[in-house]
Amino acid sequence: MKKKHRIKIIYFFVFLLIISSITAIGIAPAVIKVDYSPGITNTFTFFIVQINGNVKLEAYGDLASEITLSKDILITEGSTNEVEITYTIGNLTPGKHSLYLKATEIPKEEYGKKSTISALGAIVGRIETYVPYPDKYAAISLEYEPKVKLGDKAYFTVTLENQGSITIDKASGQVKIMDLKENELVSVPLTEVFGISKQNKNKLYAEWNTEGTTPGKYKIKAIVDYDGNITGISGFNIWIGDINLEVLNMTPIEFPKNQISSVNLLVKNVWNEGILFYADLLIKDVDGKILKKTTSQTLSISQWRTENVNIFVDTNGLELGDYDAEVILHYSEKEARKSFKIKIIEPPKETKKDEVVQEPKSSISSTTLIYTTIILVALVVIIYLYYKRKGDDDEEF
Amino acid sequence: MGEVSNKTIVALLTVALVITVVGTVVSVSKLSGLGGRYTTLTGLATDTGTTSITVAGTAAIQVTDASIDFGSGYYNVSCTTGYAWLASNAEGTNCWLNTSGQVPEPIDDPHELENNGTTSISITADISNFNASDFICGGNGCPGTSTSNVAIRMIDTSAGCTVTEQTTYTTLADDNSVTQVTLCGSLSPQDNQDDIEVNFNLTVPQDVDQGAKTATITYTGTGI
Repeated sequence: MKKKHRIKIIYFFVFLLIISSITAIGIAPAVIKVDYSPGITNTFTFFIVQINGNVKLEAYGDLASEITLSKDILITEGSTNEVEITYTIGNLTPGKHSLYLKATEIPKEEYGKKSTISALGAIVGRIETYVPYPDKYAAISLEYEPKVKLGDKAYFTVTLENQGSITIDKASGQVKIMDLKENELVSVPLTEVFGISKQNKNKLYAEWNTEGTTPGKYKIKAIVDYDGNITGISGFNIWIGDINLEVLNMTPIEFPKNQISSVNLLVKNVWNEGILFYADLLIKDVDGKILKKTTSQTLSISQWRTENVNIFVDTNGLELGDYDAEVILHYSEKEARKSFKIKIIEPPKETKKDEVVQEPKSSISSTTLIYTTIILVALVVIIYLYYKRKGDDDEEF
Repeated sequence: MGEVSNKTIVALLTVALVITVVGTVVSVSKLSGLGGRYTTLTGLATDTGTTSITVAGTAAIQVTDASIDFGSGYYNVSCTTGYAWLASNAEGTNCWLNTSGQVPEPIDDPHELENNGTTSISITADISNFNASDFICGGNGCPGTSTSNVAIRMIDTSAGCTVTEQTTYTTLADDNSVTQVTLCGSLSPQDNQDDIEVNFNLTVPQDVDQGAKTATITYTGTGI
């Protein structure tokens, strides 16, 4: 008995497009900072705007127990909603205390069972109260560009906020550049600042010349000395790199004999600028002799993007069997190469229509929908008027 | 009831069209209007004592292309991994076949997020399901495996994220838990530097049930 080829469809996974695929929500103000004045009662108004669906509200944070919220939930769609918060400042410990007001879109009911991985927006407004520390106390934050071209300078900014109750006379420090195992490689000084009064901020700057540095990722840590007190903060990894493209994948790797087939090359731009490039696809025999060469048109790829590049392979004249394929990307006087094993196979005898049916991808934008709606309404009016007039003319006869 | 003239009908339809168009324009531009309206807010607080208050900016987040289309398919039984993976960022699939039994074309269908406010925001992502098994396997789970996984990452397409970028895939949900993921610690509000893309990589066990699957990702923007 001939053994049947069994492929059991054990999983059917469908993600449908939703036509209304824009969601947005906003809150104003984003942050309200209130000085620490125990016993004082304030009333604040947050404005919440959403354009697609209803919204639920949630208050949390260590000040949540100190406030009264005017609304538990907002149900109005497409309008500005005001939420009042009454806040009486209690006795708080030194440091930062926050109330977060989170507004989250409520998904609309969908009819019928369909599979989606969809997105909702949520936005958070905040009330903050700083309780000054009794002596000198500084909080610091660290900012810098996460990717720097090899040979350029990396610039670091440390913001120092005096959260104590006494003026900080002088602050200085350094930025340490470390490998991923936190071994210090180099240290650059921060500029000095003087006379930072309580509740005020000032910035310290540092720069690092990356010339001669090995490309790669580095850990960053800033150390600040303010009037003899030391504090530090670690940042995210900084990436020192150069213009670079990578070939990630090639699909398919089996090609029918004596046909021209489309090939997808998966190309990644690991640099923070767009790159112009073109691709060569070489098919070689076991001795490395080039049997076929195809070249793509010149293409561009945006920064940090991974994109598909289409190229065609002509297998006319190639025998059935295994071959080596090499993809070469040419860009900015550089090359990126990757090799693949490919196979030339017998062409399929018959292709059923339903095997090549692709689900159409919707590309309907909201602008297109608006214009389409207007045109449809106008058409209906014209048709109505035409038949109305025709009816009137018929009645006259 | 008397007959309504053509002129009356045309006038009514014209009014209806104008209301439709104006209403649409007003709705769509509501958020962009928010910044202009509230950046000048003063006296928002009603003091009953003496205190100092500082009010800062507006925070707003917009998600476009809010649904991801992975197409239809199933685990390739000729694989030995016991699971397939699907990516939304053009990296293709592994051990996954479409309904025609072919390796599907890679898709490039991310969620696109934009900071529409006037202040920098941090952006976190949460998934609505209890865990990846709840999403991918369904209520009864995948009885013989525990590999279901939803991984997430962002691409800073506008170079607007200056703090804490989650640019590599990290787990948002595994077989028995979920994790909140900070995608960007500080996304600029500046035009042309306020966009990121978010991609997913799904690990689908071989013993998953056929059927519809639903997950909602909530992106939360917090003013900083």
